[in-house]
Amino acid sequence: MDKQIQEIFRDILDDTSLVITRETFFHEIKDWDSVMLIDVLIAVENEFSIKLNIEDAQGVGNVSDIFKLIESKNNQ
Amino acid sequence: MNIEFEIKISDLSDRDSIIEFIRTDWSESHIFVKDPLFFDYFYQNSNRLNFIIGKNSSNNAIEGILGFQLYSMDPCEDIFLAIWKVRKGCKDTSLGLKLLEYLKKQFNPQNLHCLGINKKTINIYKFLDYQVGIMDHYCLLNPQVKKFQIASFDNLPVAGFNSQENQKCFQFESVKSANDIHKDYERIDFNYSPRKSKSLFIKKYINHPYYDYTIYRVSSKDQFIGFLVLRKVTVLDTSCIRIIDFLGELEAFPELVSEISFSLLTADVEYVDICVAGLSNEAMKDSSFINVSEIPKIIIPNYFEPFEKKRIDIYYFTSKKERYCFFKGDGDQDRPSIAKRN
Repeated sequence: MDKQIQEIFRDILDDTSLVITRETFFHEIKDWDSVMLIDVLIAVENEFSIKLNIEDAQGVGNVSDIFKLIESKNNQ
Repeated sequence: MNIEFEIKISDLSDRDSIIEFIRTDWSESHIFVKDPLFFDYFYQNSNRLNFIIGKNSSNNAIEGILGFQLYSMDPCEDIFLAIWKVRKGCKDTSLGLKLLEYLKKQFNPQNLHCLGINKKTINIYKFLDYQVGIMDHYCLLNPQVKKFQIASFDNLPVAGFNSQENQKCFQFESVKSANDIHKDYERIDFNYSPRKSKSLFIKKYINHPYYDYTIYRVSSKDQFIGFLVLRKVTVLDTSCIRIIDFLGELEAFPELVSEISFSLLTADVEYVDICVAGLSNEAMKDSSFINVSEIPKIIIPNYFEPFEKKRIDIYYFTSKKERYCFFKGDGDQDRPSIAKRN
């Protein structure tokens, strides 16, 4: 799953050398903004066949939160 | 990371901080920066400002703002969003969404809309399950004009001129003051969104500090139909007339706007145009207007402050699924961009 998430971020930020870890906070990523957050969440929805909502979007601040979100949605 | 943000409706004491935020994080030449009194006109609502703000609790600095226009209260049916901005590098990357959620909780609006959204933010609105579209742009060119300076096109489209020109089905009485609308305003047939309160109508179109709007009370066979608002824009020593708003029987709009527009095409007016969303192209076929998007290479400008001679699509979003109709005058689309006073 780490590799899939990495690819999503690389794709959205248009940076093939971007390295992110579970500890990466979004605000640490250069030029990060709320549009990118939504783009990432939409890509995660498509990649992992889950449905996210505005409450989910408000609860994520780093990459680790995205993994937790995917796991919680898959367990529902 | 545990950054706390205080999210609240702004009061008058936040005014200077919001203007400073617009200066540093949006544009230092923004009209609200250059003309704070116009900011007051636009956003002050009694003892508060129509802004939701997010303040970093550790230093009390504003890091996010969401400006809005309340169209009516009790009940709050429609809210139009305006400036929505979070500071670059803000440690809460979902602060913007939190501002929006706060707005929804505070006012519980039936519908949320915004005209003039940035194309790159469309995914945000789709994620929120809102409808996104491009406003339709219609125009009626004046065939008497020899040399067009505002508009440009290869060949003059003349759709509908002969069939509609001499019809007189409506009466148009000029509205001079708020007193002229009181009686009829309650009779407006609002069976579509947005429902604009009378006080907002007066503020926007009668008490506007800079723009002179022309308002007509429209009737047919002594039956009140609605109010039509327009504005003449002069640039490059010539002019055009923009249909800004219509409140009333929407079904009658295509016909009545054609009828009044023919009489408005005087020698110094290149064209009359309409920016509208929610009115079907089929309905406008009853008018004499042409759909700009259907004519290759035609340019009917949308921005005049500063004047930009190019075709610009205006994107919008709405939480409403059907029965809405937005005009150029809705939201903050017909707001001046250049300060008129120092």
